Amino acid sequence: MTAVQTERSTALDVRGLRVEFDGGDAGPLVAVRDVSLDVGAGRLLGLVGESGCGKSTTLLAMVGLLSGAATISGAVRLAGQELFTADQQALRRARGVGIALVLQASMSTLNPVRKIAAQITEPLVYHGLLGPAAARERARELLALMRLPAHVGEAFPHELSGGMRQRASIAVALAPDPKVLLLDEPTTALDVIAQARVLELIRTVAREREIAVVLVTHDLPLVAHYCDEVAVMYGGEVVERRPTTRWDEEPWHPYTRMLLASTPDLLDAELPATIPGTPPRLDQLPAGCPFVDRCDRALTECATVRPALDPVGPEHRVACHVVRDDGGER
Amino acid sequence: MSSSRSQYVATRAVQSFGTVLVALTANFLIFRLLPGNAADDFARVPGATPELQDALRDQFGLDGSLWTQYVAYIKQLLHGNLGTSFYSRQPVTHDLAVAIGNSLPMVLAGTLIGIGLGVAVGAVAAWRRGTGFERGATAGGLVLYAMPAQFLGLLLMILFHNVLPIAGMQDEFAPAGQSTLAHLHDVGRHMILPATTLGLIIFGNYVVLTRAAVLDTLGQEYVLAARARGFSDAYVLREHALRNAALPIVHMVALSLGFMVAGSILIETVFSWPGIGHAVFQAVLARDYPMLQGAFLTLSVAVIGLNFCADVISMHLDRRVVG
Amino acid sequence: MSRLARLHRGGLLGGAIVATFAAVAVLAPVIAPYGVDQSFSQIFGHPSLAHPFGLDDSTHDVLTRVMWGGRTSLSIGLAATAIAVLLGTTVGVLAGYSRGLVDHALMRITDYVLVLPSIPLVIVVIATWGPSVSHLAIVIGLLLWTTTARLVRAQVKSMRELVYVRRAVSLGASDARIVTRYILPQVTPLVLASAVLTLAHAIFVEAALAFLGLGDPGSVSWGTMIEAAFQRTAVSAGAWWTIVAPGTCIAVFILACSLLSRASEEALNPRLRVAYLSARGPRIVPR
Repeated sequence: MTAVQTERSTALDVRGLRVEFDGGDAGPLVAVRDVSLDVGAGRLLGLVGESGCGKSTTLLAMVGLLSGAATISGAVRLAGQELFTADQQALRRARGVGIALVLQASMSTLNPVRKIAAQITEPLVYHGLLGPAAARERARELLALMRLPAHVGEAFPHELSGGMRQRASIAVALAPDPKVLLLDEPTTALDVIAQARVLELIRTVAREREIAVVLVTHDLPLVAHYCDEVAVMYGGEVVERRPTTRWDEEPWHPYTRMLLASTPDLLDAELPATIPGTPPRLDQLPAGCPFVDRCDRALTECATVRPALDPVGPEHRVACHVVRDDGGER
Repeated sequence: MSSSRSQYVATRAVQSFGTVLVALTANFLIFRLLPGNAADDFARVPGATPELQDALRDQFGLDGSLWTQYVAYIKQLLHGNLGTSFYSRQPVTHDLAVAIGNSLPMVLAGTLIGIGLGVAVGAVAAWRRGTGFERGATAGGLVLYAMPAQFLGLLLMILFHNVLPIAGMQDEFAPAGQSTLAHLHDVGRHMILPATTLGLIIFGNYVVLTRAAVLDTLGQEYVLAARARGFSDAYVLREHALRNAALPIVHMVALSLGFMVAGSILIETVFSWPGIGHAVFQAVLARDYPMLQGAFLTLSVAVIGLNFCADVISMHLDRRVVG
Repeated sequence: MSRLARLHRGGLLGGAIVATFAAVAVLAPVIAPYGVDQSFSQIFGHPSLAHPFGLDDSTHDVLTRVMWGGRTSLSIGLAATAIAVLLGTTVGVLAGYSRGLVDHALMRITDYVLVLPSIPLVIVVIATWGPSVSHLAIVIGLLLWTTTARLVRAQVKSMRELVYVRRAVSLGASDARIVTRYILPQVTPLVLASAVLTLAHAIFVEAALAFLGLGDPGSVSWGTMIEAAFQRTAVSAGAWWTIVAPGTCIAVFILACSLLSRASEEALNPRLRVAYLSARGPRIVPR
């Protein structure tokens, strides 16, 4: 922890999160291998990675919403309070009230047979936070906050556009005033304009209400623009963590470098490079660095020794032997 | 009610009315087209006085062409006259009313309990997927659904014939002037076996149906989203999963009405329960065409009406039905 | 055991049972232990080693009659199913392929057929026409075609929009060719799965009609055996085997058809069943 970090209150603190799935004969499949994150109140952390790197599983594991085939270990602290205790009811009580999760907005993330306003007031009434009249008032406020026209409250999910549904989902999540907001690919299904609107809103609300936000996405440039920090995941681990204010600061984890290089630049006529190879299978994770098979700078020790997430600059950590050996130089 | 919803109701109402007209006409034609020319028999109420025969011939235009007869038929229908039963020489409307009155309590009891328990067990089975309870419930449901109604009724009869009444609706030898309570108790006891038979078959059907419907909704993301809001499992199951599964279930109810009618005919015959199913059966044996025609009409209108109700309920359950 | 494996096993079991019944029905003349109308000593004789299913009220061997009865029931069922499936497929293909007015008209007709109280109607028709095996097969077939028609129509409708079909249309292929070359082969598995279920329904209706006295008086079927037992006071005589033997055959056969149909439906339309809510949650190991 750096000095800057300890000044702000750490709303969300995840240590050593590990998720294993029961793979039957194949043995346990490790989807998340030792992930640690911390996010301060009012700050946005972007969690980036390819499909299958474990980022969505990480979010679900934090609130304990995985299937019976999963084993979750580690520690998740919400404003100092331990969630993974022997009392699983504490975890359920924290869900939605302390830590809210917003899924990717498809046609079926909102209950199709209920009006939007009713879905916003539902958690408030269920958890006994507000009476019905006050809850309806809060619903109106939240819809306005999300820049949704008032009639949306009386509409059904199928009557709204994708962007409006996503904003409505966020309004529902924000109703009980959570301290932490987790968003899984909130903008992947949206057009560019809607994306910008949604992310802008999320950032404004997070700052105003001092909510810690974790945003899972595969869109690195988006994170660079809207988030305060970025954590890059690969093969179930966090391989790099840096503040977006120091976006250009060296060194880069080889995977992050390749990710950036593969992002299409609209102003550049050349086609971007792709990263050769495929992400590792959950039951075939290498003993050393998970990126070793696709890395163009792998050393011999990369295959056998797992690199630790070491600091290479202020608030900047990278898990890579090559970078460490280079002494932080290119 | 919003305009699109009232429009939907109005459209369905008009359609249902149209279907009723088709049913009326089909009803009329069937009995005219049967070999043996049942129409001629229409006025031939056994033992009827010549005056009655003339009156009937007049009312139903039996001397005229098919079209005249049809017009007369509709006219009489509007007056609530369904003809006179050959068998009992009573107005058909009267006999039907009695028969329906006898059927309703038994059928309602069996159906409501069957559906209620079936939906509950089916929902829990879907929730507890992979457990012995689910496997048992599914197997039980499938077996009950596969049983022919008369076979199940006879099995229950064999098992319980020493313990419960197995025929009729009441004790024939009960003392006259019995108190209402004693009478109700008597009818109730007689109702147990037939209602249970009907209930078991319906239960089996709905366990399988509900389990499938709930399994489908449990795979929808809004269930996960609801859990993420801290709602308990039971709450999510009831308010989110079951609420959404209700639509396909209501749809199935509408479709299975026809077979439920068949089931009650069989069960009433097994237990000699004097309801409408039994009346249909007796009417077939006795070639009591007016009664048959009246029963048909009533059953058709009932099924059409229930379908209409199911549509309105669906509309309230899920707004997407309208759009 | 995974759900898929269970369905697979259920399907195999169902298929085996159906095949067994079919084999017994075909081979009944050869493998039946006694003659159908052969008399023995005792009215309502109890099951014994010589007569595993006992004797009925006319002292005939119930096991033999069950085998021959299966022959009749299955023949009526199969014939009715063939009629229902042929008619249903034709209507379904016509409705799904032609769209517009023809489709609308055919669907209205299907709806009306569904709404009329079909079982009472069937009862009346058989009562007036005469309950012979062929009459029964025809009437039951005409009762059950609508399910197949709806399924086929839905399938054909969605197929019509497929790229390779539209391409064939634009290349000038005749309707008949498109239907026979592209649509029918795809529709056939669905029709077969539906046929199994229709067969179960047909057996049920045959038994119901027989119970109401409308079975073919000249032959033995499972349905008429139950009816005869009921009419001749088997219950009060305590001769449960005369009812249980044919009734169990019907129930087991219908159950086998259900299992088969469920397994084939899963094979045709596999549903990826995720469950976001189940009784067992994840194991959480606190640090």
